[in-house]
Amino acid sequence: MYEPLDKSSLTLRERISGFVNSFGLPRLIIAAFLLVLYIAAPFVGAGFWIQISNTINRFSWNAIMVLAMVPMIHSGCGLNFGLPLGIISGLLGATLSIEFGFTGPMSFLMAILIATPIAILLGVVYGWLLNKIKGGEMMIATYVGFSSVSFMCMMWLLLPYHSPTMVWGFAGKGLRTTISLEGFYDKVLANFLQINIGTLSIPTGTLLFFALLAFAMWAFLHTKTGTAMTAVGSNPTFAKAAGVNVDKMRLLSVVLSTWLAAIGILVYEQGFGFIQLYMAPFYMALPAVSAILIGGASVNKASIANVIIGTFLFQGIVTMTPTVMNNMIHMDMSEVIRVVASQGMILYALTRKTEATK
Amino acid sequence: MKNMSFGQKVLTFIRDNTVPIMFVVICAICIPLSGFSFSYLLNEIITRMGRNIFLILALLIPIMSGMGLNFGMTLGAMAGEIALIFVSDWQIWGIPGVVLAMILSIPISVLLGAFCGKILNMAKGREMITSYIISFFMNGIYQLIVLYMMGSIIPIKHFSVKLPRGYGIRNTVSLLNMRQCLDNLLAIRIKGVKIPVLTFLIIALLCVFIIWFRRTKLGQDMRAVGQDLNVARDAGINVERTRIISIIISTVLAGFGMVIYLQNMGNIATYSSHSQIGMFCIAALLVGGASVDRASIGNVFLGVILFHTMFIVAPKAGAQITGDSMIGEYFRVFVSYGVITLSLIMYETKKRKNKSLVGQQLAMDQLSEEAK
Amino acid sequence: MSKTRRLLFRLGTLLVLLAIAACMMVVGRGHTVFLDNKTLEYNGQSYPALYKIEVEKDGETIAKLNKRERGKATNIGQTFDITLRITKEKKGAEEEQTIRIKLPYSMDGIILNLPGYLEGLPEEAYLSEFISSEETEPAPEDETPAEDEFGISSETEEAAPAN
Repeated sequence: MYEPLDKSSLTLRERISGFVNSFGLPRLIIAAFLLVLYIAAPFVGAGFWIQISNTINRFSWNAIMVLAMVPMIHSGCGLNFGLPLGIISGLLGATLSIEFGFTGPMSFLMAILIATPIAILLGVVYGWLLNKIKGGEMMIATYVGFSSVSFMCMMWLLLPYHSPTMVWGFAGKGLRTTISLEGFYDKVLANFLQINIGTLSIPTGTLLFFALLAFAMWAFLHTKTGTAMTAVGSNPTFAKAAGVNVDKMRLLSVVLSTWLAAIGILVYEQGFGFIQLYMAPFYMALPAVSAILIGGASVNKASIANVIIGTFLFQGIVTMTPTVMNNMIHMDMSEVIRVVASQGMILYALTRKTEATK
Repeated sequence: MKNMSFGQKVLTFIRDNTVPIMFVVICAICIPLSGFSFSYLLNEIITRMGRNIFLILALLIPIMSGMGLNFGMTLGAMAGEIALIFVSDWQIWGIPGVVLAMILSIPISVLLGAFCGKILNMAKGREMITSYIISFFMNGIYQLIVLYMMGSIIPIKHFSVKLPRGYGIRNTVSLLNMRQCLDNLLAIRIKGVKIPVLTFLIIALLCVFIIWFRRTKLGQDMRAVGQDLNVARDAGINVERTRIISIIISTVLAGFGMVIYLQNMGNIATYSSHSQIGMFCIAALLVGGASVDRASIGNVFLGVILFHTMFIVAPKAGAQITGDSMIGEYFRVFVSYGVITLSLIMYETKKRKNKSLVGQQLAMDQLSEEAK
Repeated sequence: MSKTRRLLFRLGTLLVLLAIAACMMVVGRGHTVFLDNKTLEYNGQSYPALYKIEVEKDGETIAKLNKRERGKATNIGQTFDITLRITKEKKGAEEEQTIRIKLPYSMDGIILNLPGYLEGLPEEAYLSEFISSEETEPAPEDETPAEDEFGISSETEEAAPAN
């Protein structure tokens, strides 16, 4: 890329176009749009601090699922459209923990503990599969996600769950589509050290939990294994020559991603207050994928900063558009804006860089 | 091939046709369990053949030009729907309505197809995932146009189409006045089984077109592009243009197919009719034994019959086995996705195997060169 | 093929398509026709309803109208051909009459007053527009859409972030 040595000699126009190029036009538009929304919010009667709290809240629910994108991007497996597979492990953990009779914060801990081996197992199989089909990961990941969700739809009905809080009342079997978490782990993280100033409320616990995982991810990427993983993603031939086991690194990244997705959905549920089963996880990969891309990641490059910025921007748009747009033009166009912005971002990323690293 | 034993031949046959054989087995198990009468099944399948085959045939041309399964056929479906919305707003009924809708859908399809083709040219090597995301992206634009711009910017008058609030299109647009008008014209009944002759004639015409098209200069170019992009480019073929044209043709055909599909259904679910259509057409095609890089008209027919037999019988059979009708519903959804997943995996592994074979061959050649 | 020939060929195709489309717009315009057997007041004169009218269209009986009744027919295109079997008085003889009425393009719903038409009154007397409103006709939303059983509802699409 064109990298000028002496910045002062550049005209303003060159500098702007350089900035646009490095930041990416769609990202710039989305950021500017969000800024406008925030500025407009107080004028149209949508409380500024309420909006900020909403955004932070939703950020805390979703950030870990976006973080789950990082390892696979690093190892060159591309965007993890197969996120639902990890989500399924999380859902299994959640439902089993309740089935075994755990309540309160303990149920959250147990859900994580139960979900972990399932996620690792599924992740190993998924990673093994992705190693078989290098180069076609994203499409197959999408369909692995879809198949696993539709397979679990049958399982939710057939598995012998009995806990009365979860099964359909009249039939006595088959899990409900949404299960309330009241009395279990509803807001366990969010209520921990929660800060309330006026209308602003910050779910400190959830944010801390995310920070912990994000830091762990950052640290991991700087260990020897982590750098080897990045090497596999950026230049597999070189990595192979340097004695790195490419397939093993990719497998590890897939397992990590799947596990993070499992944890991510559990954190999402504790914030949201409900477990959603059946078709709910179906399209959950797309918001996570577009969030990290909005944050500045590309198909083969991503950082923790991308995760944080992206989730904030994406969730900002999700929370702000309905209220602000509604008040401004009395048309609820939020759905359309969200779809166009997020899918447009994914499209943009897919068309950049001629070829994914193989 | 010739000196293979009979057993080997059977094995290769099974390996090459895993998916169709699997489906034959599923159908063979489910049909008796479902308890449907033979004539009912036949009637249903013939209806669904008339309804779906045209749409599925639209997938063939991008496969020929090496662009994989065109998930972007949803764009054509949207064009067909928009055309039908206009036609029902103007109250054009019956066959003239169908013909008008098809003609109206052409410019919209061409525009959308050109857009899709341009983007796919920027994402060579990952056409499928890109076309898949394009269909989502366009769904957003479609909503913007149909839900907000129609009636406010684009003139829509008729109360049966427009939402009471003054702009936007209703959730369902009734096509009662053109319902099955193609299917009923020239239809014949044999022992209670209705055969929509005209629809099948149109399908036959499209098949002839596809066979003819393969032999034209453009068709040959597309096959060359599908074989190897770089070789085709060296041979002086304008690769980008050929690929765009192939997507445009596919989109236009999908638009026609959607009009045929919807006239059979008798109404448009404005915001959802198109969303699943791509995925079910692709699943049906793959069930017929097609793969990402090779598909024939025969695959389409076999696929529709097998896939829709499964679709009809699965819920009833599932209810028989487990006592819960939802199981069957989920089962057929799972099978549709599973088939696509399986086909994609088989295609990618085959591609990789071939690649490494070529690599080995090259290495061997080099070695033998050095030995000399 | 030379460039000009190709261009001409394309223009020709375009024109043919446009011509077909225009034809379809005219030929395919659908109308709902309401047939009234009701007493008509016109220019101070009264044209009484007939005892019984049977209406036949394309070989099918679509309505049997006694006094003060209304029948409904659909028609594609602007020529409306029907056969009437008219019984003027009770126990009177039945007479058959085939009529052709030109329908105005712009009207969706059209009311035809048969006694008025049969008396040979001008068009403005026997033909009037039926103003359909949501009150008189059920909105299409009431119908349950026919499903192709394609499973999954599209509402689940990205349900996650919206809630």
